[in-house]
This record gives sequence, structure tokens and C-alpha cells, in this order.
Amino acid sequence: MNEEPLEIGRVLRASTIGFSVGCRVNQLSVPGFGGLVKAQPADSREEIYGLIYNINIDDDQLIRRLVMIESPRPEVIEDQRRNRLLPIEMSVLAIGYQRNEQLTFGLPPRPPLNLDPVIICRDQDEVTRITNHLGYLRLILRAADSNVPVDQLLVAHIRDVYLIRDRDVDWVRDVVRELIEPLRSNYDILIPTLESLSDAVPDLEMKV
Amino acid sequence: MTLEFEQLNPALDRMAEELGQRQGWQEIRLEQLLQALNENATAWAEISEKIERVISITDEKYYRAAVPLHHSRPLNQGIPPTDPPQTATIVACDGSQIVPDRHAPFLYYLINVGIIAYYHGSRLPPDVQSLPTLKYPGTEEFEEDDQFSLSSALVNLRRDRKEIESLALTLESLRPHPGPRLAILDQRLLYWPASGLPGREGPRVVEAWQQAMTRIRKLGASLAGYIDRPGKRSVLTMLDSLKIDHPHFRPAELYLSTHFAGLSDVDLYELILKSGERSPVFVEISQHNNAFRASDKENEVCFFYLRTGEGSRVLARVDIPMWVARDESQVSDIHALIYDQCQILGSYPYVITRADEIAVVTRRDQEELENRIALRLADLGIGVSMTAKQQSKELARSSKTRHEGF
Repeated sequence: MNEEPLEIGRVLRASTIGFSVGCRVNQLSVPGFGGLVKAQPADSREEIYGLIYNINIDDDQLIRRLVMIESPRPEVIEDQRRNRLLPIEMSVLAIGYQRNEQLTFGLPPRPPLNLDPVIICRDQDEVTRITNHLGYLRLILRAADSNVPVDQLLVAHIRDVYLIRDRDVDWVRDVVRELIEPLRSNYDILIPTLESLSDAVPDLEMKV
Repeated sequence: MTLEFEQLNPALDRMAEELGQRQGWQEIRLEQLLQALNENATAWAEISEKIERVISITDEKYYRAAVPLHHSRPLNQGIPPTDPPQTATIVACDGSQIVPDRHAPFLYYLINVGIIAYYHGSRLPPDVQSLPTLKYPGTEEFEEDDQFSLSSALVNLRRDRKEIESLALTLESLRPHPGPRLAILDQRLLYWPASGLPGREGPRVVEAWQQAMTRIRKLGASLAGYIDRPGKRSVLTMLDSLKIDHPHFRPAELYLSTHFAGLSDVDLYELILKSGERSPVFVEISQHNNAFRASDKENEVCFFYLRTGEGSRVLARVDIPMWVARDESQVSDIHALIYDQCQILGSYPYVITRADEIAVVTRRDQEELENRIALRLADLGIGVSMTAKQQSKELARSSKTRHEGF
């Protein structure tokens, strides 16, 4: 199932381990926490894949003033959301990159550049191809010592991919097996992850 | 070297003492003026007759007063707002500028006008636009001036002209929306440049201003100038002019701010108006307004005061042209719509706040613009002075933030 590439914003700033994406309000309807995205440079540099692990919506003095009003006018809300340049910022954890059709899981050799477009990966073939290699999950687990909410990120991502892969419960089962090994000694992540997964993927409970 | 506050202590003592005395005098004076307003609240014929006589014995150049336009509402009573129209279009405009700096590496000036068209009652997002204009040696308006006399005052004049002309232009291309259309400027309507400007730019801008007002009228829109916390004392002058038959009446004293102890009309109407209420409409009496009337009688400027919210210091003056002032339903709509706008943010019109935000050219914008000018010149192999080059490098390297990782 091929889907048109959907740009969700552009790179604001980046490092080897991830990047931040700036987007407009009208671009915010599709991407969500745990979503698979890629920074897609127009030149021959690598496409860099990553997972959205945080979405930040900034305020300013005008917004703070408007928040105090009992019921802001619809025109004012629309003005704030569509016309004002309040940045919506998504943080992305890099999980791999692709160059010359060659997909590699791991940190990219160089980060994307400012203003590189960022695409949400919704195409089933592409998502299947990337998520068949479960090694990328270990990169997510490596972020456990940082401020990335790893357990919730895993659950959101697995649920998202499960749906794109036509409720592929076998894939989820493989993922769980892949996670159990490295998390065997980290119950703080393993238990909430498995509990949340059983809620997020109902079929899993029946078959695991 | 820091300011030596010790040296200022005697002056600070004197200042506090004099302000205290002045406040006491203001309270007495305000009481007198309020009494005069109450005594003459409906004395329409007497006001007209006495003001006419004062005009005949004062210098037109300095005498600035007001007379009530309608003879139906007592001058000492606030007029509450009606419900605003269910739908209306409000267009607001504001301007900003970068003034020329002869010591800078590039000689140029920039005017930016911000416009917002707000579709009241529509649930639609407003239309916003920013209209920047760059002028530099070689462009027409720049060459007209002696570059060494191109002052910030001259650029401000051109910004003002562009504001009202952009307002008229926007009204011509608005999307269809039912209800009245109101154009608002964030300044007085009775536009008159400060004296002392070189050349004919001042009269040219005034002429263009009046033409834009006429154009807005012909487009069927209402027009208003919004002035926050104004300093005008036309109503106070009117009240003191009524003492023309008093033996100690000195017409020349009416020109002096000291005559009113530093008070202005808003001090008086602050005692009268409740939140949302407005004063009756007054016609401005001044040499400048005579010129406006002579140019187009519909452009004669009137005004009312409006308490825009709760609390102190929330009185604004709303200037309106005669074609609006004469029509009480238009005045009611403007009153209601502006007060409605003020309620969005508390006590100041939302559309003007946004027009200002769209127009404003920040220091960072200026740095970015000058960086781009430097790069364009470099592309053409045009040498840029070391100062400019160094500044541009510093700009390009500044204000970047690092992705902090996790």
C-alpha cells in the first residue's frame, strides 16, 4: 500500500543522536508520539530515520493572556493556530539511516541539516521493510538513561506499526521476544511496557 | 562609570515635593472642571455661541478645543455599548521601520506595514499580511532627499502614509463577509506632521492621508483612529472657554498646558465613564481640522473617549471622520466593536495588538536583513567594509542553539 509522502515539518536543529523538527499547526494532525519519521535531504546525503519521542508546544505572553479568558473567540483561536508563528517542536530519536537504497540501523554518520524536510512514514511497504529488522529497538533502549520516556515510546511505536502492518500480531510477538532479553534485568521498563502493550494490542494477550 | 545617585538626591527631593504639590492642584482643578461639565452638560446653544466667540479672539494656530457634535446626550454621562453586530470585518494596520544610519555600512531604510483583517463572528482565521518596502540610494524616494537630511522623522512620515494607504488597499480586496467594515489605525486620524521637516514631504503626506480617508469612505467602510491614553485637552479647553464673559478670562492661557495643571480630557472622563462606556462625540476645533474639512468636509475629525476595561489608565480616544460621526448607528457599531476587541485581551484591541506584532521589525530582523545585504554584495564581488563584514559574521554565528541530545 503506497502512500504519498507527507511532510510534517523541517529540521530545526540536529545532532548525531537525534533532531528537532519545527512544524505548523496544520501539519500536526498526522504525526504523533512514537511515529516513525525520516529526515529526507534533497541532495545525496543520507535519509535519517527516527521516532518522535516528544512534541513541545511553546507559548508566549499573548497566549498566556488569552488563556486567562473564559472563552476565547473562535476567530482568535484560529488566528493563533494558523497565522502566528509559534513553533511546534518535535524531538526525534535517530534509529537508522539509508543511503543508496542501503538501510543501516544505528546512529547516522552525520546529522541532517537545518531545514531538511521531515516526512512521516506511513507507507506500509516502507514501514514493513524498516521494522522487519528489530535491531533498531536496542537503540531505543539505549535512550533509557536520558529523558526519553522509553517504555511509553516503545508502546506507542509498536501500536502504531502494528496498525500500519495490518494488525500484524506476529510482528508484535517478535518485538516482545526481542525486548525481553535486553530488559530482563530492567523490570522498571519491561513490566510497564508489557502491561501497556497488552492493553494497546488486544490480540497479543490472546496469542502470547 | 555608573550614575552618581548621591548627586541627584536634592533634585529627587524637589521632584517629589513638586509632584505632590502638583497633584493637590490637579485635584482642585479637576473638581472645577467636573463642575463646569455638570453645569453645561446640555447647554448646547451656550457652548456653540461662546466657542464661536472664543475662536474669534484667539490665535487659530494655537487654539484647540472641541464642541459636541450631537445635542442629544448630556456631556457628563457615559453611553453604554450596544451589542456588536453579529458579523463584521475589522481591518487594522500598523507600521514599523528601520531608519537610515549614515554610520552603518549600508545606507538604506525599511518600512514594514502589518495588516490584519479580522472576520468578527465568522469563526474564520483572520487574513494577515506584512508589506515590507526597502529604499536605498538609487530608488526614487531616496534620491529625492538630500541623503544627509534623511531623518528618522521623514521615514516615520512615509511609514504613516503607507499605513493608511495599505489600509485602503486592503479594504478593496477583502474576502466577502456580511456586516459593516471597520478600518482601524493605531494613531490619530487628524494627521499632521511635526513642523521643521525639510522639503515638501509633510504637505505631500497630509494630502495623501486625506485622499486615503476619502478612498476608504468611498469604499463604504467606517474608519477610526485608536489612541491609547491620549493627552488631548480639547474638552477641558472647551469648558474653560465657557468663561469668556468672566472678567479674568485670558484667551492666551487656554493654549498652555500649565493652565490645566497637566490634566487632560481623560482625567475628566475617567471620573465619569464606566467600563465599556463612551463619551458623546465631539468635533475637534483646530487649524489642522479646518484644513481637513477644507480638503473634504467628510474628513473633518471627531472623537469620543472610551473606557476600555476595568481599572485605571484604561481610557482611549477614538477618532472618527465626520462621515462616520454623523451616523449614530455607525458610531454605535464602532463603539461596540472596539470595546468587544478590547475585551479579548482585557483593555486593548486585539486587532491592533496583532497588527503591531505583524509589523514590528526587531533588532534581530534588522541584523538578518543586513546580513543578507552583505551576502548579496559579496556575491557581486562588491567590497564590504571590514566593519560590515565582521558584523555580518558575528550575526551569522549568533543566536543558534544546539540540539542538546537526551
